[in-house]
Amino acid sequence: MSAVDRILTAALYMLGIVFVAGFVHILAILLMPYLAPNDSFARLAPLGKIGELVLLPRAEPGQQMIPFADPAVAQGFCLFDLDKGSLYLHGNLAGGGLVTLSFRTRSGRIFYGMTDKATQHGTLDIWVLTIAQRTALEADEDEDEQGSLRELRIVAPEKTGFVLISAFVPFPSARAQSEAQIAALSCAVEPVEQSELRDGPAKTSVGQLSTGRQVSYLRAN
Amino acid sequence: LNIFLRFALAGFAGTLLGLAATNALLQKSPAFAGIRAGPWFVAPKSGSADLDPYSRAQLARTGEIALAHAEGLSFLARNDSDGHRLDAHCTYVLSGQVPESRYWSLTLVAPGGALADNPARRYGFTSAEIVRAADGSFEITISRNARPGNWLPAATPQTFDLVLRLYDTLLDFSTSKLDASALPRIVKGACE
Repeated sequence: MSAVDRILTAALYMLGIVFVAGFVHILAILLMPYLAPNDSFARLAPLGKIGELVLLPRAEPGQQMIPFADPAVAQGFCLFDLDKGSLYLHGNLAGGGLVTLSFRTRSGRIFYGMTDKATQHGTLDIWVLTIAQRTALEADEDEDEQGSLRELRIVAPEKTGFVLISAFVPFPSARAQSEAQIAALSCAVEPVEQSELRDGPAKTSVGQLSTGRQVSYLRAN
Repeated sequence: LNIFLRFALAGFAGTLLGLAATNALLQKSPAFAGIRAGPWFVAPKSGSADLDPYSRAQLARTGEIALAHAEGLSFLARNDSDGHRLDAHCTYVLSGQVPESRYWSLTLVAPGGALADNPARRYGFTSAEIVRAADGSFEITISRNARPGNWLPAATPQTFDLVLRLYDTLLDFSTSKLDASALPRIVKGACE
């Protein structure tokens, strides 16, 4: 092997190493949202069950759940797993304080955000669904009903994630009030299945469910 | 040396190099894509669904929860208005304009986002609790030792960051350019 050959071989190996490094780098960046062990979902998931509203403890030095958390907000969250059913979030934001909601997937993508100003007189009536679940809900409504529905239906791009509810605390003494605003909301897992809807009994009219909610469509249990 | 062993070694070296590069890049703070205005840095895309892969990876790694666009905007300052790193041994005065929003909050954190423990249990101010002058203007004094007026304790051991969050703001970058004069100035005073 001549000197030129050796240099060429070494250069080829270097090129190979750089190529592999670039590939690994791109792969690591793209997989990070799915594999990171300490992301926001991993921090929140152990604190609550699916479809349960959990109030986060106040952000204090040494016991922060989330880095950079704002101590001037009270926060709560609901985990969802759409394989187990859609998430139904409802309640009334009485009090007039600033409340924001953000809908996030497990991998950290924000797919919806809103404030209390976007509600109708403070009433929240929100579904987080897969496309199939939304179709199942819509399949059993006629056009009039769809037009009159006041609820918000959001299709999530992933099966798992969480809804984060933040209530602003203008003064430290107002924290209890802001936390009460969050606690006044509730989350529930509501199974919606197309096949059951299709094979189910004849279409029901507006009815009262055990949750006390007016429904204008058929719900599968 | 066996050719397969060489290949394996090259692959191993490449993987290590790739992971090291990823690690180094993700430690770069703050986020990748953003706008600077004076001492403040804002990543408006971090609240939307079309976030770039690097910023997403960075958020996943730190566990931070960025404000959704509809919720508000978050500004981070690591330096004062002259471009020097914020240092807990110095006194700073924060004053000036805050873009229109329903509420805003200012928080002092250690690098990495941890709140700094202090006897006053004061980690920041909100727009509602701040003491203002008759014309509506305000000044926040950031220093280790207690000051009259709006005193924010600089309780971190060395450097610190400031986070200004505008909740339910009308500020939108898609139509207007962000000007440093629209945001508070951070002016350094005496140092210990």
